[in-house]
Formats: sequence, C-alpha cells, structure tokens
Amino acid sequence: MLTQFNIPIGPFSFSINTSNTIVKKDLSTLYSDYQIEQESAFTDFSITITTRSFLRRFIRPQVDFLLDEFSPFKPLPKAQSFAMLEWGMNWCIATKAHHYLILHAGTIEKNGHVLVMPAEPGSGKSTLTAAMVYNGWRLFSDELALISLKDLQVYPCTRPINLKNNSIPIIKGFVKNAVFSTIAKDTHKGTVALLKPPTESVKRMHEPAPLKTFIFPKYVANAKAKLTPISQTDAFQILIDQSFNYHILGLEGFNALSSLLQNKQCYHFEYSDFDDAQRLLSELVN
Amino acid sequence: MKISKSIRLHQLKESIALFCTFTGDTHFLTCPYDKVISDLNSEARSRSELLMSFLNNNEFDNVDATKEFNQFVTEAINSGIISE
Amino acid sequence: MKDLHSPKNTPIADIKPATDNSRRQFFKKATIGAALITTISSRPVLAGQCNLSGDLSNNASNQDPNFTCDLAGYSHGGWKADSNNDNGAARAYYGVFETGYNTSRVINYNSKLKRLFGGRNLPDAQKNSYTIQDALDKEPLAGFDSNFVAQITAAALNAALWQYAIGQCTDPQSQSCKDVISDLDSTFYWPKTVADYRSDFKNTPIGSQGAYATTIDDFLTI
Repeated sequence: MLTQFNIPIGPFSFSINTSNTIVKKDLSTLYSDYQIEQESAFTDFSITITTRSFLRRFIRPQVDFLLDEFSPFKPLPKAQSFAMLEWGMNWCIATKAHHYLILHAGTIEKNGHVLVMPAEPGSGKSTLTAAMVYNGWRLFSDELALISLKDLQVYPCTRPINLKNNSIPIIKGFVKNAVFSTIAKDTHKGTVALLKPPTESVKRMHEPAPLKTFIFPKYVANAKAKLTPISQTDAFQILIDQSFNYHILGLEGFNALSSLLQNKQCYHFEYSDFDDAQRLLSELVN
Repeated sequence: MKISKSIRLHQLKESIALFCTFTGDTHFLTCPYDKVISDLNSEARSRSELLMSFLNNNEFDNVDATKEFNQFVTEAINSGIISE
Repeated sequence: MKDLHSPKNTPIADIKPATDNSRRQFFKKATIGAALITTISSRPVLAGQCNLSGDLSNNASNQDPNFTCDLAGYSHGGWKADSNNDNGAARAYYGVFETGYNTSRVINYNSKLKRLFGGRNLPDAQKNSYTIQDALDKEPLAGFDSNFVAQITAAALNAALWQYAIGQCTDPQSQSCKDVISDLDSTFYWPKTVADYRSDFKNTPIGSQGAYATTIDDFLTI
C-alpha cells in the first residue's frame, strides 16, 4: 500500500511516497521525532521509492528513486532502499537549493557557534559528526552545510547520519542506545547504515546560527587532537573544491566565501579519540 | 594596463582572490604579485610604470625579476585579469 | 549504463576521455618556474551527476562505468561567442563549427534558447526573444536563476558537441574524425548526447523552492 510521509527537514519539505516495507519501517524509526504529516499543502521535493518493473519485484528485486516521476539514478537492490532514499534526498538539495551556498561538510553547533567541517569522502567526517552530536553538540548535517546567501548564516538540514563499514560498530560502541536503520550491505560504499539524529537537534532544526570557522578534519590513528592553522588562501581553494554549487553561483558564491572567511582563522584538525576531539573543538566555541 | 572590467577582487590575509565574471574562474595571487594587482586596481598604469614600482617595492634589481614580472603580466592577460 | 559507442557500434578509438582522475585541468598550483597565478577554473555541471553529488549518491544513471566523474566539458564562459573571448575553449568551437569539415554546421548564438530546451517552461514574454547568448551571458530569465540557466545551456551545448563528435567518428580513421579530435580540447569528454538528455528528461513542474524544470524536446541542429 502506498503511504505518503510529509517531512519537514530544515528549510525544505519532502513528500515521500512508498509501499516499500523497508523504507516505511526505517522512516518511522529514524524520523520518529519529526513532525510527519499525512498531507501537506507545500512540498519542495516529491519523492517516490518504487519498483517500476513488475518482474523486478521478484527477480533480484530492485527499487527506483523518482523525483517528480523522473529517475536521476539507476535502480538499486531492494535491500538498499532506505540508503537510496537518503542519498537521493541529499542529491535533491545539493542540485536544487541554489539560494544557499552548499558545501560537502559535517556541520555542528555549540553555544550559538557553528563549525563547518568540509572533508573528502572517507576522511571520517560523518563518524566525527555522529560522535560530536551525541556528546554535547547540535547536529546541523553530516553531509551538507547550507549557508544562506542572504544572511550568511548556516541553516540546519537535520537528517539521519550516514555511516559506513567500520564506523557503524565504532559509533554503536560510543553512543549509548544508538538507533540505526536497516543495515545495507554491498552498496557502492560498502556496508551502510543510518543513525537516528538526536531528538534535541531535530527539535531545533529551524534555528540557524552564525559560522564560527571552518575546520578540515582528518582521522589519524593514535593522534592527539590537534588544530593547525591553515591560510585563508588554502581554505578558500578547498572550500571551492568541496562546494556543490560554487560554480553555479558564480560571483555570488565568490562573494559569499570571501565574506565568510573575513577575519576568520581556519584549521586542519587531526584526531583519533572522540573525547579528546570534543574537548579541543569546544575550546573554539567557548 | 588596467584591471579587467569583469574582475572582482577580495583581499585575503595573505593573498588576493579574484573572480572573473566572464569565465567564472577564480584566481589567487600571493606576494609580490598581489601588490601589482592592488596597484593597478587604484589606477591604470603603463607596463613600464608597473615594472618600476614592482622592482622598487621589492628591492629587486635583477634580470630574473623582470623576466618573471613579464611572465606574470602575460599570464594575467591570458587569464582575463588585466587588459591592455 | 549508456554505451558511448557510435550508432554503428564501432568503438570510438581516438576520442578518449580523460584517464587521470585528478582535477589537474582545473587547478594549477604556483611553484617556482611554473604558473604564477593559481587558477580554479569554472567547472561545468550537469554531466550526469558527475560531481560531488555523484559522490553523495554514488549512483548516477546512464554513466559509463569506466569513466565516472572524469568529465571535462566547456564551461559557460568557454562557450561564449564574443570576439574578445580569447578563451581556448571558444576557439576550439569556432574551429569545429565555423572553419571545419562542414561549414554549414554553425552554432548560431542568436538562436532562441527554446531551440535547445523547447518552449514549454519558458516565460511567454521572453520565449521568442531570449537567446543562447543571453543564457550564457546570464541575462535575466523570468522565473529562473540565471546562473542555472547559463550552466544548463552549457551542458546542452557540450552534449550537442559530443553528439556531433561521435557522429564524425563513425569511422575513427576518417579525416573528419581526426579533424574533430585535433580541434577539441584533448580532455573533452561528455557522457551524454542530446539524444540521451531527450530520453532522460521529462517535463517537471517548477518547485516552490527553486526546483527547475527542463525540457529538451528540440535542439539546435549541429
């Protein structure tokens, strides 16, 4: 039976339509703190997770992600349905929301100050984000930093956190009572699961906050937490590289990054232990 | 020579960032070439005036510095930063 | 996955996509004796999600699996038809389309944008006046973000150029194929033709938060 979930996520509203049992179960579990409505007059993205081909329900079952009945992705195995939904939602925002400068970054807030942590895939930023938000920080996003072009504040896009492979048991060990989605194996990224975001972060998803600075994290085994200053020039270049839409925004993107970097000291951040990392990052925002 | 109409500049702590609205390219210039662009941004100059200022400000007096300056000007023109 | 071979299923031997996975064409760091200006080139978008969005989804349809995220098309700046534009990309285009093998195949930048995208979603007041050049110059188009219009126009032109290149290389040994290869930037690669976009895109409504609709139901004959 096709069920519709209308979910407000930060500045966006998603309508998710599916009869897929995995997706329905994971949505209900991971979005249980969200104000899900049965009907909504106002939808930014209308998504359907479905099996288009009758045969593919039974033979190596596959699902499709459709945005307004258009499929930007190839079908995935049914077991990866929820992961596909989450990836697809990221894609919707990253490719459409051009009234924000969008960076590929973990984004967390404490004491009214936001740290944006851009990082190459595989650098551990999602794991770090997950550990921090269950250790005193508010979750804005583990993947997308949304910076308003109007006021340059950072806007939350609070959603489940995407973890993969070894990160899953690490966070299970670090976060008491962590709630995970169905685990999807053999995805392109390996084994993937989504972590339910903290209730407090979900409650405050409509509260933006100003940027404190940019931190470029890197997990280094056995390293003591360390912040090393990075020049504004190098930071600017990395930020362009880690931006989804800098080249779409053109001059607006350039002006936004220039203003954001004004009078800011950015850092490389090495860490291995989460408590150690948390202590050092808190010093930046105290 | 002058800064192209399509260039927008922003001073960073240790460099100048430039955006070319025509190509969408972003450029970064560090010392001593950020000063050359800052000079040009204040007013148009001839190539020789700019070179003199470059050599004097940095106390360069050798042939290599002049060669590199000319290389810079060529690159800047090709990148659409400077127009003659 | 889309097969990038020509319609006759002949491998395109000489049009090679970039094999280097780094962003070397877009980023030159200043070192002693090398470039004195660090430049990050404007990057074309919408080539089959071949960008960070592709990283996020890790799952873009219609991508050739061997060449994911190795695109190198011409940016909207590179496509501008301006006599003062010394950008190498634009010169390559003039080489292909104005002085090349078939001189009747010319991109007319004064063509109306609707020739690329169909008229269904364009505002009535501008439908018959807004040109491809306007799009590349980011002139305002009612109801659209002009940055986005410039980018998607460049994407469509890259797709048309790719389609043209494939068409010239049905016989990889032919002079027309060799001419195309020598005229295009050596790293030029676009994973979709206009025909691919036609079958991919459907008419989608414009969302309240800026979700754009594109319809390619007609395209400039190249």
